[in-house]
Amino acid sequence: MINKTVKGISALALALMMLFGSAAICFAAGSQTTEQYSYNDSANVFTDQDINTLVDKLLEGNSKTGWQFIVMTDPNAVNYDDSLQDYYRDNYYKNKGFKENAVVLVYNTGLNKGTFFGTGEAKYYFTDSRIDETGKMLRKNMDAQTYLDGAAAFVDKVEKYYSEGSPELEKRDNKLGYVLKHYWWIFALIGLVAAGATFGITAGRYKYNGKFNTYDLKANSNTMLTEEHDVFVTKHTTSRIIRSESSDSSSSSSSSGGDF
Amino acid sequence: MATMNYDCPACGGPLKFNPDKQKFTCEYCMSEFTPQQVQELYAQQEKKVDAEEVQEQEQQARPSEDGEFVLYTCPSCGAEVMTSATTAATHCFYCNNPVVLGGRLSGEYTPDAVLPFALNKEKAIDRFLALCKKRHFLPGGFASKDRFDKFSGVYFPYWYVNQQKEAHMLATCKKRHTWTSGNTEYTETSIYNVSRAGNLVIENVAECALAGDNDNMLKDAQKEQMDIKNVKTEADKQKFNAMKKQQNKQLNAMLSGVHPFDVSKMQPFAMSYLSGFTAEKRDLGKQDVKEKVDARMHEYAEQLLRNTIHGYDDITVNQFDEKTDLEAWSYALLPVWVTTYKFKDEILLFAINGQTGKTYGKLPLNPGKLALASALVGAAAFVLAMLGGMFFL
Repeated sequence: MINKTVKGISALALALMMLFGSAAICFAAGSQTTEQYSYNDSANVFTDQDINTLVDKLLEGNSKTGWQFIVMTDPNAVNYDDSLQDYYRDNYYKNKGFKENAVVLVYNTGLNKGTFFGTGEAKYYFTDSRIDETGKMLRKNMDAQTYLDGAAAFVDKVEKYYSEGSPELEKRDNKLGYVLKHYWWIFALIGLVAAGATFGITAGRYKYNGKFNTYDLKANSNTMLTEEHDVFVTKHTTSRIIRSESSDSSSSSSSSGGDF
Repeated sequence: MATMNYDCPACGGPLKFNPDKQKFTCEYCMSEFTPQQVQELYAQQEKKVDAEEVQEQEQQARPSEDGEFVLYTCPSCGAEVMTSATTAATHCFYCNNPVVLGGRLSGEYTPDAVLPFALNKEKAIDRFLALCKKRHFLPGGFASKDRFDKFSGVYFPYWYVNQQKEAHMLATCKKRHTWTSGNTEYTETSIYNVSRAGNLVIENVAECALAGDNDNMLKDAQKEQMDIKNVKTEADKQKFNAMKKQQNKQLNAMLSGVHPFDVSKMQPFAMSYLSGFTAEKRDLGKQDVKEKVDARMHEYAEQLLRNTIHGYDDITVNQFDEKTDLEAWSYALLPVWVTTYKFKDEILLFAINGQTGKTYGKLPLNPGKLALASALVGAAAFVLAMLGGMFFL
């Protein structure tokens, strides 16, 4: 009888493990981490129903991109130097053993601020315009305290960016395609100018054949100077600041994202 | 009779100046004579062509119906030779004998010098065809020897002017020195007042002595396009005048475009050099071209003085004065091979410097061919820019 009960419990546990489909499952209260996703609702902003919906959304994002999706809420008004992004990258993402290619969204309810970033390959998908767009969207959700909607919309945005591609990765993996896609109009302009110049110069050579160099002044003249004065009058000095070119931060940093 | 025929003393055939040999040759008995020999032989005859005879000749000459041409009698075959009012040497239309209308080049119209042809017709055509070979967008079949067989050798009249001047120039000049310290670039500009004065000699400034309303060379092509006899309505008249204006413009451009000539090879004028060629007498006097010449001389003088200012990054001329001390004018006949070509309702004029072989003339263009080549160049530039972009973007 006891054996039957033990077997039943074991079978139920096994079924549950299979249901979640992961080898490493943590059952910490309000948090869960798998290879596909991670959530940590320390600020307790999600209901149980919200968590189910969030997990489904994070799994969807993972299946479409292959990246680990991480959502965290933090009630503590943390002290940070430059950006929330750096703080949570160094103090949360790097310490928890997350996957290299991951997308992180953090709501800090204590500060009423948030941040998001991509790491590994994912960082290349957050261009300046996309960071701006996503930040604005998340800010609205944070103000409205619609955290779940914000997280879901964040996943949708990341999926969209993934399908649209990363200019940075494109540049790295297919330079010709990248250059053609983004700068074709410059090359077309150069081609047009070259074609126009060829036409114009050639047509000019036909039209103006022999019209120039009809008198050689040097060979037919003689100059004898009788007066030659060069008198210094004044001098003045002007200056201008030389601006140094700004560096591209997105490609050198280990993550890319923005605060909101 | 103010016409001159240069006949071979050996056989009586026509003598023509041979540019290759720089001698007169008879095409019938192959005899050769130096210019000096011919001049000595015909000195007496040429003298007869004096001003009085010219006057008489002009009175006897009958203007053609349209009033633009003058008729003379060929001394060789007796046929009537029709010439324009400025023609001084031509060929009889019937016997092809060279005829020099000496009366047109005597008295005040006697040129001071002549530059004999140094390039014969064959060589002139070869020069032109060599030019055509380098031009890949000519219409098909344009560059054929047969087409340009109608090149004719013409002596054109020019005024040559030498001037000695005193000139003075005041200018403001700037020197710039740039250096960088830290992230600041400094530019120091030093300003100088510069003056130059000097004696200048400017020589061999040529100005065409033909008004350009002469249509001797263009007459065939022109007549194909529109004959003055067909001008009846006001619209026709306007069209005809516009065409004449265009032709005059072309002619004047051509007459300056064939320069420069090596004037050191000029010879004292002798009518015999014209035998075998066409020649035009001047119809513009010194006073007609003086303004043009003075403007050019002024420009050259300023250029010469300006060229003596060195070592500045910026030169602004504030004042320039010049005064002519000495001036010498000479009237010369210069050799040009010339022909016309009708292309798409446009009369194109081609000329070759009869001494140096310099070519002049608007060449016809096959726009389709050129557009295709330009498109290929554009495509190549596109590809090169794209490859360059892969390295720099």
